[in-house]
Amino acid sequence: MLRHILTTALLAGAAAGVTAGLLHLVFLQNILLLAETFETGSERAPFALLTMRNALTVMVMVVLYCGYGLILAALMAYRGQAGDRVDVRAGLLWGIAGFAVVTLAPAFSLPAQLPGATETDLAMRQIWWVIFVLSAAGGVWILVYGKTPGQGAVAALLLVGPHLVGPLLPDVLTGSAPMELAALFTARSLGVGLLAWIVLGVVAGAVWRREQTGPA
Amino acid sequence: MTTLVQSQVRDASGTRAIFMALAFGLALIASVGFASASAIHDAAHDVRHTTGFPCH
Repeated sequence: MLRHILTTALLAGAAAGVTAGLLHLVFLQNILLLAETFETGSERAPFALLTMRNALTVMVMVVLYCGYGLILAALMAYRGQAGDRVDVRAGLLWGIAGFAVVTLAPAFSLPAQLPGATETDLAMRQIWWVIFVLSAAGGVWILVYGKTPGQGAVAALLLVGPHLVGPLLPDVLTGSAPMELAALFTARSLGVGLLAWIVLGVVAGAVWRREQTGPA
Repeated sequence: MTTLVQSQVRDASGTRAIFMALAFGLALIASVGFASASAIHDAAHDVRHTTGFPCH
């Protein structure tokens, strides 16, 4: 079982991480670098430094999506034990659900920010990030596997509730990048997140199925 | 009886594998998204911004 989970998670994580990393470099990195010139008032870093930085970004992205992949494969295994069929189509749905829980839900109140955004208490935002993700995970899980209208109500409360009391915008906004850049960055970060999660889910579903049906 | 015992053994090892994978996955996510050590922060900086982790 552990071998199946690890194989599934690492293959899917590598594919999704490389996808996310490359899409980041094509669609997001230039916006981020431009925002940094507004933040610091300095010129762009030299090419050699950027190459190193970009390579690190792709590697870290692979590590991150392997982490997501491990959680995803573990939950697939859990549902597989309960008799659910796990394949490419189910993987697609798992991936979209994962995107909604891990990327879209926290972004609803804590959107991806460019460097130079108004600084607020980091620890507080990190705690809220965890709360948003955990409550969305519970909400989506109940939405999918719940059966009664009461459970549907609990799911809705878990999905919406934390955002009613979540972090507020600071009174004074001092973000240095133009809003056009910030809007483009946030929107594209969600788009890249969705694509990467779809790759994660689909590859995980395919590998899991193969591991299950192939020779043990 | 034998079937019952076997299925309990399989479930126990499956459950252990699931929890190990969950713990390992959470550790990876926490180190990429939340670790404050400056080397990790610098390497993960762009990833944190673009994937929506609070960064600074």
